[in-house]
Amino acid sequence: MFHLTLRRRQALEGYAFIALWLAGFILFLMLPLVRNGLWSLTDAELQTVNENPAFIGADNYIEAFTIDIEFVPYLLETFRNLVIDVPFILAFSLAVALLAMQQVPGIGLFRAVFFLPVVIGSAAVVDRMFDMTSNQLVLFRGEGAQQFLQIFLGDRLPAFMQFLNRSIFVLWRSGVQILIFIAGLKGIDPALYEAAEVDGASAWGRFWKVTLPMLSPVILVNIVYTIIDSFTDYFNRVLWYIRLVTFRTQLRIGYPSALGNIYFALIFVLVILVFFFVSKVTFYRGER
Amino acid sequence: MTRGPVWFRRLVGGRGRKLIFRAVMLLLLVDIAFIFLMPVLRLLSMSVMHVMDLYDPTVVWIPRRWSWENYVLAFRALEYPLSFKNTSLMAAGAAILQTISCAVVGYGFARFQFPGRDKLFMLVLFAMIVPPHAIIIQLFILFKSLPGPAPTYNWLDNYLPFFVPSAVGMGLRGALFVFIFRQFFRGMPWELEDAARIDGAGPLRVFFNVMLPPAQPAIVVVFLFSFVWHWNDSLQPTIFLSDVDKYFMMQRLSAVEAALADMRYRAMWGTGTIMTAALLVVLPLLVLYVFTQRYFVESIERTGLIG
Repeated sequence: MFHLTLRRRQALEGYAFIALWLAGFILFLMLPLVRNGLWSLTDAELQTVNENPAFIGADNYIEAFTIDIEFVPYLLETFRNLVIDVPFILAFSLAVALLAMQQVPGIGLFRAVFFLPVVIGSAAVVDRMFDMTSNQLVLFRGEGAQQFLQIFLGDRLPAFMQFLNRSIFVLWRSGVQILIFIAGLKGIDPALYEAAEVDGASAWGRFWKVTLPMLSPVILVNIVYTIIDSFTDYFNRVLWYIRLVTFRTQLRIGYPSALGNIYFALIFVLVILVFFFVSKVTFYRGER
Repeated sequence: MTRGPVWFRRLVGGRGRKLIFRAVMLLLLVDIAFIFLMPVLRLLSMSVMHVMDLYDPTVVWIPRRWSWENYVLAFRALEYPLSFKNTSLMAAGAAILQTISCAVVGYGFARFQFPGRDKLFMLVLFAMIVPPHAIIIQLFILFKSLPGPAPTYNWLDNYLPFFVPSAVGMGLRGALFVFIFRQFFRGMPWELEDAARIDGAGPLRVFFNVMLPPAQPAIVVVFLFSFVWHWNDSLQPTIFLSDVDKYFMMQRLSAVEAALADMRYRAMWGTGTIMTAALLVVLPLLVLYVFTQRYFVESIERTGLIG
């Protein structure tokens, strides 16, 4: 038996614990990604995968931005939705998390309901739930609410209903965020609140001066999660379009690979940027 | 408890204030709960309605003509017993494998010092942001080329594409679970682990006997997440399974919808059936949640997922 120093042994054990994961990472993630990158430079089709597709350089990428009239608009739409949704989801989930922390009779029941979106928040099923036959909202069917609102909104009613529908839909996507916020709130040292209260801070003041700064690392996590979630969402138009292209063009895979790469590169840059800027205002307590 | 603005304090006395605060809180809670419950209740109510009721503006929640037809149709169209068996086998298997493997990996990242650890952990974060769509075609090609059991002799049309990546801590949102476990184990005290080490326990023994039992809350959360997400995933099964007998619920649901799409534009006939089918698909999850909900909520409160 070799004699290992403690440090060496620890390192070996550590590697042993993550070795399988690393193998999986390389096989199921790195390899496909690299292949994807290579194939995006070719005119490969699914049928002719093994017959050495021709190298066509950056043509696929150029096509995406110049010839393809649909890709860029979808891309922009995704980004626009993101800019609108992220603050909305964050604010809502924080509010719900704060509410769920209150000591009110029956709070356990409410919490259970608040986690419901996590459980059935599958995009595909939510889709059916919010599915509108013609333009009737399932949510407001026959409630008389529409007629009532018509009085105030007139022609703007359909737009308003669309907005409302979308808001509720967005709220439905904040299940995991609520959960992360609750976990974060639980982690705040109660002593901080006591100290603030002794110093005469109001509930409002305590929120801004204690809760928010202490929660800032969790907010960062949530922002990143929300961005990724909405980029990989079932309803995402870009992904939908990539799927469409794949099957529309006799399973041509070079071009959709290029689209996927562009999309992924954008997500990556965005997440890095967000991480960089938000972590500047993130507050870590004590040791870090 | 709350003080509130000055005008408010003048207006209402101490106890009244507290009461009003409580009432407002309760109202808000009920309101939000309503947003989350409403679509489910709506599904439920529509599923037992006769088609005529969908046209009837006087029918809101309670159907006038009760009908179980939707259930019969949806049940049959989904091939419920078969697809239930397929889906739950896949989801449970993948979730168990993922929970174990991600706990192991998370522990490795949390508690060992080795060169390059933090750089490797960056890879976990990287894996977290790669959308599955970006690599799904390549995975398809990869799985097609790997040797597997009959009848396809590759990894398609069986559960390997779901089980193997899960078993190595990848799979559906595997990186997120590794992250959760790592945060959790990092927050645990060293004393127990050190004591076990001094008593001569090896790393595996320490992991399974000392670290895992207190990690129960994290395990419950990860298992439930993994199960639910595998159950609800429709991307992977569509790509990896083509044998109708292997179909999962989500695929059946899409098929039902496609079959009824034509009908739906002309009448409301299909709508109720599709809604019912959607309800039947998530029903097992709802039941599971009703039973684990208490545990789940408690777990989250105790773990402090984020560490």
